[in-house]
Amino acid sequence: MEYLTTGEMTVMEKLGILSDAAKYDVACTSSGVDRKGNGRDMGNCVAAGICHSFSADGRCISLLKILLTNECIYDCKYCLNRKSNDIPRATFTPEEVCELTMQFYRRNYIEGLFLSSGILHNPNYTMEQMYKTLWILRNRCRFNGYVHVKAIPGADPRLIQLTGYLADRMSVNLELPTAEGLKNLAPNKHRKTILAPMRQIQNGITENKNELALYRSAPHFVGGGQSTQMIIGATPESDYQIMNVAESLYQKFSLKRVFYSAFVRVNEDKALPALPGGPPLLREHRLYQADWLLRFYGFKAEELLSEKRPFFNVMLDPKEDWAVRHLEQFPVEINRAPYEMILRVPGIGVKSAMRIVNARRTASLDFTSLKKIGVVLKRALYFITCNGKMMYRTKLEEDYIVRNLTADAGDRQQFAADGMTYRQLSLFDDTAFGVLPTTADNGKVASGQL
Amino acid sequence: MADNENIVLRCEDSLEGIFTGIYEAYALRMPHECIHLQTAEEENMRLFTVYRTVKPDSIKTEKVIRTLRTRFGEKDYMALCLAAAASSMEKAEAIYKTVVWGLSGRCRGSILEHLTNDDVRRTLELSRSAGNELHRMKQFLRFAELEGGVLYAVIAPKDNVLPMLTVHFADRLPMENFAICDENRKLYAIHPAGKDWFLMSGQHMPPRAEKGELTLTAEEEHYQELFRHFCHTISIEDRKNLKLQQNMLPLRFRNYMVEFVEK
Repeated sequence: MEYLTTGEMTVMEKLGILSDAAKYDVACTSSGVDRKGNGRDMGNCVAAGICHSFSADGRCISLLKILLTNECIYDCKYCLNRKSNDIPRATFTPEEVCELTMQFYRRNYIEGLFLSSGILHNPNYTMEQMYKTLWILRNRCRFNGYVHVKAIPGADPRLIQLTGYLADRMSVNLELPTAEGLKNLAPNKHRKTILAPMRQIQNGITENKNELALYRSAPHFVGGGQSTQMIIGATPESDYQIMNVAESLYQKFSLKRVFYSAFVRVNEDKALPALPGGPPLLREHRLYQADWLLRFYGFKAEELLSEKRPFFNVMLDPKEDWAVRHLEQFPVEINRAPYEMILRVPGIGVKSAMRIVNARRTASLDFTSLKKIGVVLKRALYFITCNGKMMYRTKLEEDYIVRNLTADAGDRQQFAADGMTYRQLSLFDDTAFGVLPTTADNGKVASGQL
Repeated sequence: MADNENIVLRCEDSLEGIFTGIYEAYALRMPHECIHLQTAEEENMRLFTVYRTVKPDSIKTEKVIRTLRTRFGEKDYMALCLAAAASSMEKAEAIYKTVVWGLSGRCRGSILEHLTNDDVRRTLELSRSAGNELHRMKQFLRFAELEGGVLYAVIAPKDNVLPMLTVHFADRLPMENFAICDENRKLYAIHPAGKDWFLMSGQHMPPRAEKGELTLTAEEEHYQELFRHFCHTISIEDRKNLKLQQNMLPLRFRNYMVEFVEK
């Protein structure tokens, strides 16, 4: 590791340090805002969001994700940038961030800026610097693209308000799912100071919506909504607790997204769990699947999990898991069942459910047309009928369906800890079978050595 | 024989070509089952079939566009245009039969909801695949600044999405001089700063900066290096998953992207 060099750092060095420090932030989406170009300034926004590249870990690079500084006065145990870590530190000037954003955007490398920061001096000073950066970017560089900015807990509400008028999305990190976990791992942060700005932004968005209804040209406040993220697996919470927290965030704080970040052990600390199998990626994956079920499929957290079953099934995804435990509601008749029920069938997503409901108005659907519509029959066939008939003779039994759903575990294998796969034993299992004998071998055979 | 005679209209592989083909097919006033449209040369000529070539005509195209817009609505019209940009051989036939179905009066609501009709489904699939290709071009296109300040990009899309792609970038970068070249079709889109953009077709392969056929500004090299560095440091070693990366960003795009071109 390098140590602090004397004199000014180059932009390259700073970018290296500050993007490296920002990489554990997960929210790299550029969605939620549809804004046409104004014919003069650079930039527009597309509602679906655009990912411009993908890094070696398979995550998308949509925004220029950097910290303004990785100096920090806090000492959160899980964080790479904590005060007690001896790492190279750097700070961007607002002008440098703007220049990078504009030049990258122009070349179509990025969709906008994601600005976060460590706490330099105090929360107010940091928030001021971030506001200044956005102000220059919007007013001097006339940038019209996407900006996601972190609100610093503990900063003056007025500063957060002003920043919100320049950003498309704001987020406050919840860090850990429960207040207790936060107390153990982030002694300088408090649940209250995190939730206060979250509430403020929520109220700001609601007020702004009312304003916009009255005055069309009123300035937009955080048009893309608010998001947050929490670290999974650093503290002993169950999936049930996490889902409940997420659900209440969606309902009570009207968040757009909750992100889950599998804990990566970057610091040696006795308060942190050891992760022999690497970060809990499968758990993160299941939480995201369940998150989608909450947001788009009309599920509730207590339907998916309960006090008695606080963790997700490793082998089945949350929707399959729910379906096999509620077989009394199946099979579903595709040509007659309501949209909400079709949505609950494993193998049918939001799009195919919409297509089914639209297509069945004019014609009766059979399994062939379902396949063409895009239904994954491999999973759905145990739960549906078309005109009263199932696809094959199948049993509506939990054990039977689970066995069949898990038989082809192709997509589940990628998370297997040791990467081991199973196959049937064969007579020709000797892996050296295909290797041709060398000349030396021939000699040995001739002389009777082999 | 006249009853069984089939007519195949060969049209140019473009939106104008296909729409003129549809106009001519209606002008024949014959049962639609006997008429077929195709954009490419037939490999196996069919028996009892008359082949006619249709020249693209802007007035006829205008008429077809007007009908499609008013009868089907803007959304479905856009889907048909995207389908016409697809690279598939059967697109002209699928679009033609979809239009016939849509105008037959048997169809209520959006035509593209009638997925049980095979031609409609085929058209929707084509339009979806061209739409995906368009989105991927918006994602993975990379501009490089040439000496003189012009932004230049080379792409190799499967479908003919350059016009729609240029609409996106003209909206995004109104005050830039930029050019986008489609290597597969030798088609160029040119956007002068603050003015309307236009398309040009060329004879030669577009020059590539990577092969040293064009000179970049010194600043350009600097920003390319910065972005490469950024892409490298932003990835988390503990989560490394090259297969996922390749699913999201297939190899065929990488030849044209600065972060994957070895320096």
